[in-house]
Amino acid sequence: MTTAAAHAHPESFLRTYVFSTDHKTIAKQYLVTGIFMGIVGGLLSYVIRMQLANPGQSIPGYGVIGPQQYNALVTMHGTIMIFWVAMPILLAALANFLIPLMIGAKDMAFPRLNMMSFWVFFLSTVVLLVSFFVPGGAAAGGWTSYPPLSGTAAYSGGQWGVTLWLLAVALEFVAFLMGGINFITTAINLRAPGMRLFDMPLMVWMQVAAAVIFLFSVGPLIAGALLLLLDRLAGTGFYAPAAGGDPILFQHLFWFFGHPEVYVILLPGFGVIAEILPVFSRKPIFGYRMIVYATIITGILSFIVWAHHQFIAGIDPRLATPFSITTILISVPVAVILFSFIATLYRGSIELASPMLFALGTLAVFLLGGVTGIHLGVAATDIYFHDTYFVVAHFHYTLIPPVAFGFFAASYFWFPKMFGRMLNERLAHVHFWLTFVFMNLTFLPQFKLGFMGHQRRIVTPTFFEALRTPEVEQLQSMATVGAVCLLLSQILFFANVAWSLRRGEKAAPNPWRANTLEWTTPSPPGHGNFDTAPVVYRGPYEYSPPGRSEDWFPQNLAPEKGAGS
Amino acid sequence: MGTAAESGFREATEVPTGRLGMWWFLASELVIFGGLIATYLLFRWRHPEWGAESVHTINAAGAFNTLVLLTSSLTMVLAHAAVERGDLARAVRNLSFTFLGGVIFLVVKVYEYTHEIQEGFTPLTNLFWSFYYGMTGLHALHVVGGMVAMMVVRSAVAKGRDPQRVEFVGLYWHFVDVVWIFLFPLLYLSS
Amino acid sequence: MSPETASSQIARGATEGSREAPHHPNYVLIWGILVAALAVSLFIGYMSLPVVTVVLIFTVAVVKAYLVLSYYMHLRYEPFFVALIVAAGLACLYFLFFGLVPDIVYPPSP
Repeated sequence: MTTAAAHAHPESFLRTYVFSTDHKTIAKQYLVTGIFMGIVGGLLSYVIRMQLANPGQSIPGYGVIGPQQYNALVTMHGTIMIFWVAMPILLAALANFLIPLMIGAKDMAFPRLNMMSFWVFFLSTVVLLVSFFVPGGAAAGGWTSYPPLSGTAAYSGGQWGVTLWLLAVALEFVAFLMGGINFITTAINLRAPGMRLFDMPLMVWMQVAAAVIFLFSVGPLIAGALLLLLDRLAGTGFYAPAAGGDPILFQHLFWFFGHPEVYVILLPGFGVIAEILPVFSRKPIFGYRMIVYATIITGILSFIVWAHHQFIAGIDPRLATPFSITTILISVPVAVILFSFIATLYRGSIELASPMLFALGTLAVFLLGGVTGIHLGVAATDIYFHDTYFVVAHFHYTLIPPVAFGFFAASYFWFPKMFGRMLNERLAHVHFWLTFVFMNLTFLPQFKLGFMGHQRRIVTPTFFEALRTPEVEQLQSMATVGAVCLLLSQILFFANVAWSLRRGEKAAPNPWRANTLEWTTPSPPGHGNFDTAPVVYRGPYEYSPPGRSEDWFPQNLAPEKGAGS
Repeated sequence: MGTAAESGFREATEVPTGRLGMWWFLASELVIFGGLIATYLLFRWRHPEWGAESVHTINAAGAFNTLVLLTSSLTMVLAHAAVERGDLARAVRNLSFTFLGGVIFLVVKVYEYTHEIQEGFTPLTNLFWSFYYGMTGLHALHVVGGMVAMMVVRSAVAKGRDPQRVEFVGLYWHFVDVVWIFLFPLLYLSS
Repeated sequence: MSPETASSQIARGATEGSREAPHHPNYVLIWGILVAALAVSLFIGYMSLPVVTVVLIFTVAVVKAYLVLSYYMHLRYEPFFVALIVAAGLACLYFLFFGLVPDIVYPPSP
């Protein structure tokens, strides 16, 4: 294999920073775009929360919000946070950066396809942002975009909003298909000599599982979105009952993708935790193979649970029981993964550094999200909870752990590798505690609101007499205070990054004394990643091995002669 | 894209990286077309009266087009075999035949569309025709995409570059053929 | 073959330089079978036995697709895990199809 030196020829600015084929640069491009969209999505949630706490009053920085606008903001908040924040950051940025480094490859299998993936994604971002400013405003049919609401211009507010939304989402899917094919192929074929499948870090397993789940679930929705586009633009009737079509078909196609998508986002978040826990417990991960098998089983089961999103949509009642059962069933492998993580901590020498704090925070918060999922997965209780704030609280408790906490954990952990500087640890601790407290302050009251029967997606709750009680208003205000403070707390993170990029302590190649291959490269790694091609001798989590003076054992360290391991 | 082998990557399995990536790409296409076909099948099952509609599709044209695509698949695989023997001139010739097959297919398709629209069967006539135009239209787009890729590969191979790409574009072309193998009985024959 | 064997095939060490010898089945013969199958399905199409016709026509289509996949696309010469990719896609479609039958084929009467 050639070394980095072979790539030392200088390249133009455009080739190095804009149309780069280097997986690390593409990862940073995805990261920056994702964070930017995260700020947009966060500001939308600010407007939404302010309206719910003080219905009808002018919102500082925005003004008075009407029903159509409110629907558009809720739709776009959901769309952006799932497709333009969670996906680019957790999948594209982390997988792009880590997969080649962790398996000892010098780049992705198809570097130019990788570049194309980012630029298609960038185009989709532009299309989505443009849709805010077209006549009629952005799409307002919910992030699920069900017909008939999204089927004709008469229902969706304007002709352009939903059309551009569909176009942007389609482009985004294409970008992630290109990225996903790259991740899978790279992990299967480009592993360093000696690295067997069960020597791969769990992060790589999780990313590949996520990419495979995405690839197989998104196809029918692409077909379904095409039909919806034809309904809107050409006037066909695939989803119009009058023409012999069926609106429930879109719900099925959407959730056939939409539920696996939850695991597409969750698994990379779990991957982050799986990398961090052993390092800061100085212990091997508990049940490596069990976690891998549980991941595969979760992936397979995720394809047969989708209809639990539609229990009250008028589906055949006979579907309710089988889909309730599969939904409860899928919590078993997920619990196996979670308990393996917790067992990793047992009797470890735990160091509460900032990545570890966020990793533990992820577990704590996700636990509540997972448990409340049982209420929604069982048809009997879902009939009551459906479309209430209980659902809102539940999915924020399941998605914020991987997307926000997982992302922050990954940032504090891999920032030194990515940018060559350490982040400020004290600031990071403050950031964690504020985020943790305010996240709970925002969403715990929403469980209560849901119990009280508060519907979601209504612009003026006080319109309904049952919701005009002081208790409801108090809970809504609590949630709003929490949300605003949660958003403000993130300034600490950005300040930390901005300061550390210039003044931060220079990072050593392996500041956390970790085993995996990315820590054998310089911080940051140069073009081509590895100075000499690594050879792998052991699994990724051999911490505190008996009979060794150091408490870590890098994957690429050759066994001592005669020692025999 | 350049293959992994020529840029110095190792390959941990016995499948070359380019071909492996191609199979994953085809898997993603499989679920897109599969989703569409599954949707059509469900509606076809719901509406038995569609049998009377599919009588109006031109069986002879559909059958001829099946023959054309099968034959173009043959020339495609012969091009790949020629590459493996190192006979690039023969590969280029077979690629041209395959391209010609694509052209004939599209010409017949345009003739069919014209004829059917003149008979009054437009995409908006009813849901069967929406599906008919939607599915064959998407398939035709894939044929066009395959032909463009084939021209790019052909001009490179004619100059002796990247002969391994013949196999990749071939895999794609056979996939398009397989889709048509199912579309033909679905839309034309089952009345 | 079990998934375990498939993963061990992926896991097997590098085999650089030792590419498998090219496989060349008789492509023209396969083409002949495909064309014959086309003729058979056309012939079946003109018979008027409702259910039998549909079953036969789709059986022929599956046979044709199998021939193209295994011989023209060389799937039978690939390691098992490549076929597993295709099988996984088909399995997903299988779940999708049968999950949708109750709602789409038998909608509640208005």
